[in-house]
Amino acid sequence: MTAPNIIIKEDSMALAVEPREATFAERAAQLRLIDTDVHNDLPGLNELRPFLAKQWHPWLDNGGPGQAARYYANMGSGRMDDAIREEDGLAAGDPDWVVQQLMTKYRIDIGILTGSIIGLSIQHDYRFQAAIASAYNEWTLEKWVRPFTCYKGSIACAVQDPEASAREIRRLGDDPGMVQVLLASAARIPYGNKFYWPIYAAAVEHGLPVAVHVGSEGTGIANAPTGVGFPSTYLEFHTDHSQTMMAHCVSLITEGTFEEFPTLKFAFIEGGTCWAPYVMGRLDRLYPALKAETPYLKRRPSEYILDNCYFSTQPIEEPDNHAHLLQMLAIMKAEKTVLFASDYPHWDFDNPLMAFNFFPADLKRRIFVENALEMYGPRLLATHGRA
Amino acid sequence: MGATITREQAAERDGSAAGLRAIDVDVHPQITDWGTVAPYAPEGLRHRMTRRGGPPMARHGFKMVGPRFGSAPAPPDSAGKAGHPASDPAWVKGQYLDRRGVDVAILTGDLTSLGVQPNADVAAAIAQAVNDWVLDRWVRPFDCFKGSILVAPQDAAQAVAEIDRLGDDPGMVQVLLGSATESPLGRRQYHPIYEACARHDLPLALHIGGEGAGMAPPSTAVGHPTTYFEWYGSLPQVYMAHIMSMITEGVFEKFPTLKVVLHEGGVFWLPHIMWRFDKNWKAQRSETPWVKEPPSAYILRHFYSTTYPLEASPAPAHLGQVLEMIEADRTLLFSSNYPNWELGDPFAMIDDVPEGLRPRVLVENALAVYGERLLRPHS
Amino acid sequence: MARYVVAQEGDIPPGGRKIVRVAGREVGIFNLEGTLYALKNVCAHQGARVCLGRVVGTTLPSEVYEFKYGLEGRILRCPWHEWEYDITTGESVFDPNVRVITYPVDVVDGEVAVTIPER
Repeated sequence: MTAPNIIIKEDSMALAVEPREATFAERAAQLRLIDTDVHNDLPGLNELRPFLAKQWHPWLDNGGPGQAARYYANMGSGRMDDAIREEDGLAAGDPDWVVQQLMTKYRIDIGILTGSIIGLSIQHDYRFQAAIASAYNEWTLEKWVRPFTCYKGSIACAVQDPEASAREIRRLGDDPGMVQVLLASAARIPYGNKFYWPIYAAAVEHGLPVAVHVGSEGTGIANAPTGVGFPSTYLEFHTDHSQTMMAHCVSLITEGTFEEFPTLKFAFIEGGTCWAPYVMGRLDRLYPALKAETPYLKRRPSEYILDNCYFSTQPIEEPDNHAHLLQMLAIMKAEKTVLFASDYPHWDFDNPLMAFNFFPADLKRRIFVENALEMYGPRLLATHGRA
Repeated sequence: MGATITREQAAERDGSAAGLRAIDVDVHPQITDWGTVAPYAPEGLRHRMTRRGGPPMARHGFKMVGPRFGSAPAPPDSAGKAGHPASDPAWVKGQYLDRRGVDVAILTGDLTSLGVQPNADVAAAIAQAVNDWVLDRWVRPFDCFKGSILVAPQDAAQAVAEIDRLGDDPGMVQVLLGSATESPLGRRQYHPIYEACARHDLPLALHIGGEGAGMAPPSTAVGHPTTYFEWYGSLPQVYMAHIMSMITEGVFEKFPTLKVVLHEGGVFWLPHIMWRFDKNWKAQRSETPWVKEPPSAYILRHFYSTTYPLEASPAPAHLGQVLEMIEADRTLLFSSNYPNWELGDPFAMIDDVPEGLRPRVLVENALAVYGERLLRPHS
Repeated sequence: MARYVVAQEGDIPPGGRKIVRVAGREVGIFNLEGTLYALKNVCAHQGARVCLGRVVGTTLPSEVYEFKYGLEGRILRCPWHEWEYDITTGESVFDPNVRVITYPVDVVDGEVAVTIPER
């Protein structure tokens, strides 16, 4: 593949966009769009050196630490090729660049950063990874969140060590720039398991939602990417991703996690939406007969989904018949449960200015703004940096 | 495509199809005494079947808690010990099929974890013995029972030999694989099995149940569940993985007549994976250039779903909508999962299926999938 | 229909492209081995500026497990969702009915012009 010889007229680059408001609107009514999945790039682990205790510096030497890496490869670059900045070769390496390429262009008021290293939770050395998580959170706050009110941070943690994760959540839980705890979907044990409850206890203590984001399946200490082993191709691997979401969702419900933590809000990010009706419908079907095994469950399973769970749009399912998508969204009460996510700058980015054109205006408003405000609460509007 | 027949054509042939009331594609005969199976095993491995409790079988620990069988007919009580409601074919015919108006029942056995047993030779021997046992005790004496050729995919050569041995038996109507496997079913070590299915014009049935046992990976992509509830709730996910694998690996390009029936998985997840798969394929098609159509086209053409257990819908209208999305007028088959009716009566399960679809689901779709074999007298 | 001069012939060497704004829209002019093609800079999917995508080849529809790489330099891959378009026709590889809008291009006296229908 040779670099294309692109000649672009200077004046042709201007896009028809509204001029960005100078300051953030404080009132929800003025918000236009909240993006729950913006991947700011970490140029390399070495960036974290200033935030990492000296004892860990040898890990960064000699070309960096050993990190288990994914082996299923996208047929393209996996990124939005048109958003890459010449200076650093990254599409989201610079907060101002992302303001320009994403926030302004698509009229997004708030972007929730989901970063680029959630896979730390399936790496082998949980001690080192816990240190990396803390350093990464500090880096995110300093470089992205504190200087820019439009960005909100997610607390990354080494999920394979729940105690360390809980400590990290308590350390940062009251920071006005942090709005959630972030877990990778790849895991050894489903997320409803009691093993993880210290994480949720800490999150609930600080009123933080927990989000699980797809990624790193089949890598490191994670299980195979499906319940029947390893797929052969990226096409399968990527399509299989939503199964990890379903498995976590079923686990969270059947383990009674939402009985133990009734105020816990859980977001499923980048798994699409339309699988939720299956989880609701199958578990509701099983519940009358199988609740003998799970007497701690006090409600029909679908009620936990409707009250405690949120699902991000991206990658939004695209049936030929638009009515079908709206029907599935109605089953899962998308007006309460669905959040917008772009996944910028990854290849499967959804364009908010086009992908939802056939949605009724009130549903779109719920998905674009109000559901996220309800899930994240007032933190989302806290002012902690410049607009 | 093999011979498929309509209710009318079937009626012309033998006069019996016109009045068909229901075809049940999922009835589980229970082996209660392996001593009765052992004589059917190949001689060299017969001794492995006669040990107490049957042949060595890896099992997972997921088991329902609470009363079983729901509204399934209560088994006869002999000497204070209740029998199993699916151990005696005559009794099942009389108490279930005849009373509930089921004309044909396809037997799917109770060995869903066969495909993840480590010893491939013992697994193949078990398949062979059980197949002959089913034929001898259930199928040959009763026209209403049709058999499935159970195979162990660990050694595709032996699976193919078994399909060839029984593929033309008038009592056998499909090949049966447990959906618990070491690898997704599109991977090419399994293709000889599909070639044999196609050669004998036999649909392939997949049945959940062995997930997480033996050599199987944890039954979800994120590890082992804790409870039966969680395990069973998650099982459709393995169907999703198999569907994606079989399409991506070109199984239906190689074997365009192959039909796959998915048992006990429900249907509400199908729209999600059809749409998600299509979207990804449009982007990534160059990775597998033999996948020439949108994946949803293969799904709708080659996969069939069954009714036990259909998802509980918050409103009946929702079920109708989902059934339209998956073209249930062709792709949905009635199944009872007899005698495991804990989740509800199988006929009540289809109460909310739109009236117009009911005859398709109960009779016609199964006739279209299985063809004339289903009505051929064989006893 | 109106004809717009958008470039000098030398502006777009073989293998090159130029994106221009003309008649209220963006158009990408591609030079494939001396022949020019004009595509509207809007992907049929979610509206990405498709002409900023990479020009590549692709695997052609084939038998199972057969890989035939071809159309090198003729496939425009959308920078977002990687939909592949044949630059010469605007048709996507996965479905010829899904296409990027194309415009006639001609060169007269060294001037490249595209012909665009009136709005």
